[in-house]
Amino acid sequence: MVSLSSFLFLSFVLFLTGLMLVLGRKSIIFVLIGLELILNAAALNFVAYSRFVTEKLDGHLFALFIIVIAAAEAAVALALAIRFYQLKETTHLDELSELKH
Amino acid sequence: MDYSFWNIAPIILFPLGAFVINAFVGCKLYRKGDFISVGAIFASFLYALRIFKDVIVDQHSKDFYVHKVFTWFDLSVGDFPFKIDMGFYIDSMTATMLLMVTGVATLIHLFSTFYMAGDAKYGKFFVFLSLFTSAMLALVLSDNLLSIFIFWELMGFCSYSLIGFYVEKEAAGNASIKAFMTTRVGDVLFLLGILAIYNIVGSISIVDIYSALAMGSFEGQSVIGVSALTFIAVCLFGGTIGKSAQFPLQVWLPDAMMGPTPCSALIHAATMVAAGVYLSLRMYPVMVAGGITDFIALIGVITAFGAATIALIQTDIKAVLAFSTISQLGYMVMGIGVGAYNPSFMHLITHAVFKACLFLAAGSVIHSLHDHHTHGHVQEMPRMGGLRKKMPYTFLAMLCCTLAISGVPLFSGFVSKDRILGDALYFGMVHPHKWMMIVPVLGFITAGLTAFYMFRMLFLTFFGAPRDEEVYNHCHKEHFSFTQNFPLLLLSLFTLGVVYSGSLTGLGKINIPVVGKEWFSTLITMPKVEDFTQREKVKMMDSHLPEKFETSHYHVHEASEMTHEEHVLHKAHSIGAITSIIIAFLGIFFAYLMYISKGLNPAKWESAFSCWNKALKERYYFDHFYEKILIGKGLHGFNNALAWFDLNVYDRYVIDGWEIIAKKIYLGLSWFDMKIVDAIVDLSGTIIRFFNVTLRTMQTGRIQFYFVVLFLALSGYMLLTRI
Amino acid sequence: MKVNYLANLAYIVPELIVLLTMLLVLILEATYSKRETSRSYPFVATVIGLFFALYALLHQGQLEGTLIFTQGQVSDSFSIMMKFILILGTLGASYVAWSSKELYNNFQSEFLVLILGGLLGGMTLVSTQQMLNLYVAIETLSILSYILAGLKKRDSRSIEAGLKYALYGGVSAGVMLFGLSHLYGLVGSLYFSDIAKALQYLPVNELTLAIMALLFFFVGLAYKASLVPFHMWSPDVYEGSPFAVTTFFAIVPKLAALGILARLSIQFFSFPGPLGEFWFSLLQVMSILTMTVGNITALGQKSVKRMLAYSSISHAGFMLLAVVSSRQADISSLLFYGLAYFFMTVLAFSVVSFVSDEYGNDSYDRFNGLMKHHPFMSILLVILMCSLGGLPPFSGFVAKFLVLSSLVSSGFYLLAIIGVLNSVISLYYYLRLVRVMVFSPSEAQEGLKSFSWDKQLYSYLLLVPVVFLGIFWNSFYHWFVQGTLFIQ
Repeated sequence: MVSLSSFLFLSFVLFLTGLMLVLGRKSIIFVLIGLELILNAAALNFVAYSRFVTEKLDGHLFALFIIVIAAAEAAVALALAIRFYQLKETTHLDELSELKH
Repeated sequence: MDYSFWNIAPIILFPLGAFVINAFVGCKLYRKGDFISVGAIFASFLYALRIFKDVIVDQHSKDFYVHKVFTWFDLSVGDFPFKIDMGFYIDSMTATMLLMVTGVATLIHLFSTFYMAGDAKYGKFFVFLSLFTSAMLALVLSDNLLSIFIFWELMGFCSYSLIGFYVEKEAAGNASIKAFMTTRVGDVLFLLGILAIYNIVGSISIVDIYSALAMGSFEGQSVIGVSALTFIAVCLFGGTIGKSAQFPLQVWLPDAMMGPTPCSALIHAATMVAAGVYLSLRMYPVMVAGGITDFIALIGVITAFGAATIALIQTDIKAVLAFSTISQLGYMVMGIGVGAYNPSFMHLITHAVFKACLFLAAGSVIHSLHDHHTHGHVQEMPRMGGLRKKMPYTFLAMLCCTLAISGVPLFSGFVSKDRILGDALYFGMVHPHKWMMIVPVLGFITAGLTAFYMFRMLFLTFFGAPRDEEVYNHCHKEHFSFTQNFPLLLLSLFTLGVVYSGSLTGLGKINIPVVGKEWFSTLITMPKVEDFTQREKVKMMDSHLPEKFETSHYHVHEASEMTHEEHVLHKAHSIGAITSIIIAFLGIFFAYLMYISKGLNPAKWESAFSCWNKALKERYYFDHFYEKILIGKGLHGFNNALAWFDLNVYDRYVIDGWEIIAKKIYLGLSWFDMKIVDAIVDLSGTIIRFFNVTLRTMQTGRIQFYFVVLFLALSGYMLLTRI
Repeated sequence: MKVNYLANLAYIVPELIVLLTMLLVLILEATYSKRETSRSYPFVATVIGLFFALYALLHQGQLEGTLIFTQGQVSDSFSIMMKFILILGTLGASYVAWSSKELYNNFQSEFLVLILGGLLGGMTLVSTQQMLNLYVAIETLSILSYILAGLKKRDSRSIEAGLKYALYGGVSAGVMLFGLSHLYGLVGSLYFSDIAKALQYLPVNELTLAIMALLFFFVGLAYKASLVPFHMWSPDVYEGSPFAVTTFFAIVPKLAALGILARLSIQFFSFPGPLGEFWFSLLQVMSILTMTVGNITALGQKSVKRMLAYSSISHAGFMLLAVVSSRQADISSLLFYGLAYFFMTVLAFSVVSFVSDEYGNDSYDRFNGLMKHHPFMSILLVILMCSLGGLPPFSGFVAKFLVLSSLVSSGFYLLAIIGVLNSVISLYYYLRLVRVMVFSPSEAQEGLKSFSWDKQLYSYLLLVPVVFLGIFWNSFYHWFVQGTLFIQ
């Protein structure tokens, strides 16, 4: 029987991994992957709480919504990233700093 | 009366709109937009005429009408009210005043198109005139003291701008500052009065003040030791002293003649200086309840007498008129003080008409006399003379007005001035202190002096042989010009007494204008504050609610109601009438002797009263007193005294006992001042600049840095709350 | 008060009208040919639809709160007034889009559809009573905003703005969800009423977890309202996006986020206790930081658009002060500030967009000597800058005065002093524009072509409320005082 705390621990690890990707990797795609990881960590959290603590379906529903909205967000972000690549020929994040100061 | 906002507001909005239009696009318009100003004020006149007809002719003169326009702010919290409403207040006095202001202003606007033509700043003049007239009309229509104060100040600003209109004359700039500063002293007192009233009554609307007075809200209240009513009355009257150039703040009005003559006519004769008297008339119940009417009468008569004496020896034609204005304002104030409410207001109206006409006539004279050496205009009477043949229309106007101001029967000035003097005599007779007889006595003497110096002015200017041939020969013969002469002649028509005492709408009969029911006397009556308590609450002007107006019938104060005092009153008025006629003619006769038939020699009289003459030339040393003694010696002396105390007493004590410590303290303080205080000031600028640079550098544009900041802040705050 | 299900639709008529307008614009765009005159049909449709929505909103009749959609949304007077300002903001953004030449011609209907969708998200956000609804509304608003920011697809700055917004917004939403999930686990329900009760009676050993979760949750809202230190995306995004989009960003998401922050603060944290202390102290620190950083960074800017972005950050900080003082549940000052801020922002961005259309960039130097050729517009800008800086008698002063007076009456004297000091600092960069306009020599030989008479007329029409609200603010304020929250 897997307990609540292991779910929470897993989701925390996923969150940290996503965070490391967002902060550390220099490509836009990797940042998007990290973002997805963070969102999924939250979704896992919701499901875990809903299964073990509240015994209601709220959390499961929320996780479904997260997945849908994450997909939409990823679609938009990827569209913008593709356009950026077409303009700048690179996905390196340091090129994304024309607006500053 | 059935009024809506749009029946009343255009009176103010027309000149205001003219001001806005002329201010922004005036210089690009045809003729610099003067027709907009003239048209706007004429439109206001038509609206004022309608209100006047409703109030006076349709016999609503006993009603008053309050129309709240909007709540300026309402910050009441719980049971602590803090609400200021703005609104209109119309009664017979307002209606008459509106008609006078708009009528005189229209004619002066018309005259200005002639007088100021060719001036480089022609358009700017009309800008200021329009702003001024809108402020004056808004003041007359105001229903609360705060908006009166706001427009009072606005008029002060316009007066400042117009006095200093000729910027190339440094003296004009000084005069404008002097005018502003002197009226400021009065305005501070006025504001204090408003604050005291608000504190006690909780509202500054005129109707609320009256009802509070009737309900006795002022009983037992005291402000800094004196009874509240006295304090408030003195403060409000202080505003009048400043604005209407009474003693001791009369010093600004003679210097205000540096402005263009139409501005002198409008502002410093007819309207702005009358605003002070208007305030006192509105707040008359407060003054009576405060018990300062004797004080008011004394101030008024001192001003009247003093200014009349100074006017005796003036040589500049505008200066004579300026001092005469101060003197007549003193009459109005004296009238308020002795209880002649209606005559005082009547004198305000009649004075406005004939003084405006006198100024315009003087302007007409000045304009046509050129001095080819200085390329300016001539204002000095010793250089005039014999202009009767060259300027007949101006002469006719000036003759009518001079007769009016001198108090010759059949003219308006006689009607109003005589009634004031009659009431003053009655006041002196029934007053418990017999030395208050000085008030009417000085009043009569002043009437004589007025007749004398006004006719002196007339004779010197228009009669006799021309004293300066060159100027006389270059003066053009006057043809009838609409803009120049029509205003003069129309105004002088209204100086005929029949206008004011004749019967109109069958209200009164024409009879000896001493005791009788002329229409003007039933027009304005002293407000009885008791009648203001039964009013119902007036609703705010809301787009969903219809406006409410209120009527209150209050009794006409008729002299025939009381029998015993009526006798004394009748006697006083008869004596007064006869005396004033005699004195007026005496004055005229003396002037005739001195200047036409040369029976008396003015120079001999001057040398006989030589020290008094010198005092007159120095205008009783008021300017000298204010500038050199009060400010120069007084303030500086006070400063010096403090410095002496500081240097000799304090330092000596410190040095004797605490020499070393004192030295160290001194060193420390100077180090502190130089290093720390200055450094703080510089440092604050440097800190902000430093943070600016830092923050802008932090905004690197790299998004991962932004994320780092986000998570750092998050974890930082988490740690903080754990601790 | 619960209502039967179909009757719920009566309470969301404005949202439905906005939705229908969106569809209408989409249909119009699909059907009209590429003629020049039909360019304005989508705008006309948007304006008409939004006016209908405003009418429906203001005639919703009852002002007491009603829970609708099985306690998922609420319809109270606060949400009605907030929605009013949001709809006005969208109208303002579409006006700027119509009058500026910056958006490509064939993207204008996309723009309108997207801001209408964003408006829908914002309207849902201010009336939500459930965490799921909150998340969906925020994401609706955000995702559509990412596309809006990157609308000028040929301009790399616009794409960069869109991408930065997407990445930052995504991460912040993720962090918010993470906190929300732990909060859900702690409380057991997603409904605001249950959360409020649970937070009030939280056992002490769960306090730490609750605070952590709330902090994470706060990040998501703070990023949307661009509160420091979660603001760093907004200058870049505001600068890179087209002017109309920036106008939209400066008003709708910001005010919606502040509205939901106000609702949460009052509903969850008005009770005395450690959580309330924590939250309000957090808000106070945030507001001080936001105002100060916003103002100080704006001082040295060379681009007027970026300066306006930083100034909107500092205005958000000031509005947060209104939320702080609303511990006594009187948020009328926030609503009035929102209204005054809307008029000033639309006017500012529209005038700067005119200048930018003419020259291609919006540096301060482009405003040199504007007084010489365009005195009317310069005076308008002077009045606008004075209003933004909080000088009487304009609406900016009244708005700040109302916030400060509610602060002082709640006892937050230090905050009031800091607010006033910040107003002083902000005057520097606002009046710098005035100085440049009036005193610097003009570099242009003739006037700007983009300041045509109709644009000047519209600008002056927009200036009227700025001045009018400064003098006749009393009746508006009394309407807003009735804007109370419905708390169950």
